[in-house]
Amino acid sequence: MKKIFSVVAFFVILSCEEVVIIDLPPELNLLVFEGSVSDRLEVQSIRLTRSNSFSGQLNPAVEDATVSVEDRNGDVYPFNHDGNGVYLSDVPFQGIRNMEYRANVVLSDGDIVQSGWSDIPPNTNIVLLSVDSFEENDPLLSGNLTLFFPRITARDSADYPNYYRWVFFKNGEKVTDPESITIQNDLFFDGNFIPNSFSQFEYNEGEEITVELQAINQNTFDFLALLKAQITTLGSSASTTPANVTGNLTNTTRPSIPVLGHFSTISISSASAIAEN
Amino acid sequence: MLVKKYYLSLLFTVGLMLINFTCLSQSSFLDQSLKSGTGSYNLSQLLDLLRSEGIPLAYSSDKLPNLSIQLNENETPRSLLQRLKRERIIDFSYSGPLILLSEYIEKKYTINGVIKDAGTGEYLIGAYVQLNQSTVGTITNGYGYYSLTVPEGEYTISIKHIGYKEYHTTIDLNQHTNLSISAEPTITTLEEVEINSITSDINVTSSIPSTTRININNKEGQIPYLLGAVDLIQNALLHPGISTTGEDASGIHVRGGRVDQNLILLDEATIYNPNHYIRVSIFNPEAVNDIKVLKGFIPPSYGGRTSSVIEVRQKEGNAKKLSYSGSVGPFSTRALIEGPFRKGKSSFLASVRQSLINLNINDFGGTSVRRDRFSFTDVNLKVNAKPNKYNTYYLSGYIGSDRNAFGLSSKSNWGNKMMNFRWNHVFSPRVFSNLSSYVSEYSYRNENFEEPGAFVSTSRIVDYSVKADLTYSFNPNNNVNFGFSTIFHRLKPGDREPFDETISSTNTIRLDTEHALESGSYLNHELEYGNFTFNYGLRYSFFHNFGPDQVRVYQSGVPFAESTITDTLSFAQNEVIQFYHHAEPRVSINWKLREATSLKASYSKMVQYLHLISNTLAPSPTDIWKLSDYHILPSITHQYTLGLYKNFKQNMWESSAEVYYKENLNNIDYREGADLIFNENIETEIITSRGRAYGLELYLAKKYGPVTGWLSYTLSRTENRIDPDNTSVFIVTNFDKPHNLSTSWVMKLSDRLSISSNFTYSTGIPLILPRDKYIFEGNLVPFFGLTNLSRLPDYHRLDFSLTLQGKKLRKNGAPRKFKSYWVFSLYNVYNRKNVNNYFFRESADNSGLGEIVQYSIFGAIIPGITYNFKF
Repeated sequence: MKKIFSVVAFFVILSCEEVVIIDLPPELNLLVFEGSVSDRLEVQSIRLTRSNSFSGQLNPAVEDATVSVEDRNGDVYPFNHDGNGVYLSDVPFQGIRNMEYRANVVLSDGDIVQSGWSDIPPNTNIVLLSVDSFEENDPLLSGNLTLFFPRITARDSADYPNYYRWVFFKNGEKVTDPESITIQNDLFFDGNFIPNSFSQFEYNEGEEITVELQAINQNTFDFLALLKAQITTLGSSASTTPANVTGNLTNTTRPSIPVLGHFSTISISSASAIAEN
Repeated sequence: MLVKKYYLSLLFTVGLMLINFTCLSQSSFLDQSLKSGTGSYNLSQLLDLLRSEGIPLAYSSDKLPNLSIQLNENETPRSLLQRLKRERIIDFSYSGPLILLSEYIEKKYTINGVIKDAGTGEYLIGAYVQLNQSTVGTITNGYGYYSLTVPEGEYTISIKHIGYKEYHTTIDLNQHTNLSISAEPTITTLEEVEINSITSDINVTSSIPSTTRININNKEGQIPYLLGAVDLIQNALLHPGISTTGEDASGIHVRGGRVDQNLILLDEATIYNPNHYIRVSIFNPEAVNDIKVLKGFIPPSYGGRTSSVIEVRQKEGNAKKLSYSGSVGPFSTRALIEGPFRKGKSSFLASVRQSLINLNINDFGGTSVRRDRFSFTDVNLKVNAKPNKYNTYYLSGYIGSDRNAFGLSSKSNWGNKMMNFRWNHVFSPRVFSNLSSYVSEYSYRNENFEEPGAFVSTSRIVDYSVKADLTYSFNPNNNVNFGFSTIFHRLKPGDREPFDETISSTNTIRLDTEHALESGSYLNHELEYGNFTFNYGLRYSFFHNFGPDQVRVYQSGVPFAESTITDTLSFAQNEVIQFYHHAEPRVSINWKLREATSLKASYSKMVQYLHLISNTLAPSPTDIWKLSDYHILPSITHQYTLGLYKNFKQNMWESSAEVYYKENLNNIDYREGADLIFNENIETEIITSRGRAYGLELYLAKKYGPVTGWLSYTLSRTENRIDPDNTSVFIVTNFDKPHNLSTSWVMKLSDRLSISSNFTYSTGIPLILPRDKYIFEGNLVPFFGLTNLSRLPDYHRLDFSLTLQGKKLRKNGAPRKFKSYWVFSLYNVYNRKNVNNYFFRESADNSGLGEIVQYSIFGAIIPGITYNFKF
């Protein structure tokens, strides 16, 4: 059977991809904000960069801004530049459940950028992380290979509209490809076990699997949903219309200038295991 | 005074007759030669002469024309009277011994019947029935039926239909006549094609402009597409005004209309998703007869969609003998059986088509256990019974099924189902009626079996419909048809249930079922007057959306959102939630400028109460339909067309140039990042827009000869604007293709060998190029700015195919019963890597840098080979 497929494939080599150079309009150099406050007692981190031409060089880091996070009680947590646009809180702190936080950035030209207020959602615990496996045809050698993937048991809370994000790490390194953005809305499983179909996150035998279950807010969910659609489907006939992924940040000095990225407040639960039977 | 004179004259005559001729029988004196000498007489003089010879005539002389009549040698009273009648001078009848004469009053009689294929008994749709080689004629309707009412007399009736020998017969029409004709298909040899395939000038004379008709049995209907597959919708795309967004995109745009604005009918039943995967239509070419696309003037008998009518009819089954046909190719395998239940009275057809290869074009040869697998099946059935010449009954059905498996954990099934019963009744030769009732369903089912979130989600739209049409023909130039239709729509937009109740953690969600009654009644009059043909009418459509349902009420003046809900209204079962009604006038005028040249103008207003909810570039099988309701208004289109039609060289060449302008109101669009999945308040994601489309379509076709084919060119523009206040500018839609050129030719090389080729060119579709890029959490994100409208590179492609017929004769010269042919095809002959889209992604080699990647679905020449047989 395999041979027949190969013969057909020989005759019909279908789709093809090619990198092309296209003239693009001048760049806008917009501020990009990445950062969150989690419920873990840790040094919290914010990264500031600027967008640039699509085919251009690496995005320049913003290294001379004044960055802080404040809470509704008026407590301010200053952040200091640590290199390459990354700002770290000068002391470890943790986001408190139900407390609202916002980020403040003062740029070198005096513009003030602020996020909207965002609260820390309730934490949802990972009850159990187990490892499952399946046999896959080896694309290179004849024979099979065994691939491992995580199965996580966690239960959604019924009394609150919950939004989740799953983050996977392989040997301590975060899996970041666009398809790996995994978000869930408890509309379909309110008060029940959280679905965990993660066979696309494949691990080889012996690798360390770490999974973070993040409880996120609705605006973070909406932001990530649009972000994922824009970076995974654009270009296919299943694509949505190109849209600008707008987050919750505003340049309060000059509101007509968009600010990219998102400030989120999250609760994290995590677990680790080794990929083996 | 006149009356008195008439009675006196009559009394006088009767008196004479009683006295003189009561003892004579009519036959004896009527057949004796007249004694009067030959020569020219005045009519009343002549009748007086006859009377003087003892012929018992009764007439009123002031009612007779004052004409000079030649009396011939050896003429008898009977032959004279018959001649006078034939020459429409006087009429006569016998009343006892009397012969009553009266002035000649023209009588009209109706000829009606059906036109069939002589070989299979299949009814021929759109065959031209012509009188005396003149412009008087008609075409057979969707059931092969025709009716002509004309003055009595002798006529030559000609039947003309592409692919059939021209048929002539002479009749003396002196009573209502039923004339059903079996037309012989042309035998495809070089010489005979030249002589026999004379086409009609129906494209010039028809009062319905902007029609594309493709007959699957023609050479042109058999043009192969990808992997040698013949496809009616693909073929339609080579004609003016019909386009699609990409090589893998399902859904067609007709004159700037949207994909959900085409009324797609299979044997009169609505089909909601006409596509399988990779744009293959659900219409199995083995089982269907023809496709007709109405894209300009839409006759009032059609309603419910704003852009076009795409009408497909299934074959009826061989009424004469049992026969089998089929084909095997890499794309699909097809088989069909057809035959009579009772010869000439009833027949059946059953057909199956099954895809063969995995239709996932990106991974069809893959071996991974996690590969996606796509396949489909079509089943077509049709039965008809014609117990007598007044009644025909049809039962037709279709079941389509697509089965897609995604990796290890989920699969989906979707498809259309349809069953239709129709009754054609001929009340009188002038009155033809069609009663049709159908059930049509489109549904999909997704299964995700990975625990604990395993679920089954389903969505369904079901239509129950009854439709009645009546056609009354006053005479060939004056026809009226009218009728009504009603459709009960039942939509279950989404149900989501646990896959296994005991272990699955999924909650059950059922979105409210929607109900509506969509009705319409229409009156249509077609009148030929001098050089003008008027086809005008009115459709009045009614739409009742009714409960049970819950309707949210939103704060006025602000966009609909969860946060702006102010109230919820509850509607009980059968309570009307919203009622819409619209008058839809339709007018078409055909001005015949001279022989084989006409100018046609038309206006149509179309209203649509049902919308496909889809915010992707091309529609997906999982898109749901939505009824117009409390918040969502019906879409309305006004279309104006003007076209010049001209044929050359005895209709060997057809040409047309047509311009159109369309205004589309209340189009459905979506806000950025719209969430359409299991959304109970879909109106919060919808914004309405207004569109316009205009264009010029040129068409040139050669209809017969060893080389046939056509050239089509469309220059068009399709624009849209989101218009809360009518101040925004129009922006081109994402399916706008200003230039679209297609040409397709078939050439017969020998008795057994023919080649065909088509070429298509179109402007690339619009797209927005990114202005900036940035990195968010390690992923490169494009930023568009939304002002950088650009286009994909132009699309062009050449296909080629060769058809080799099997030997038709045995060695001893007898015809073979088993007929077969091979089709060899090449898709994308010069290996053009047409850009289907651009991906904006991070460079694999240089992390953090963006690259634009052009993606071609077919980056190769794709050969195909298909074997077809019939016995």
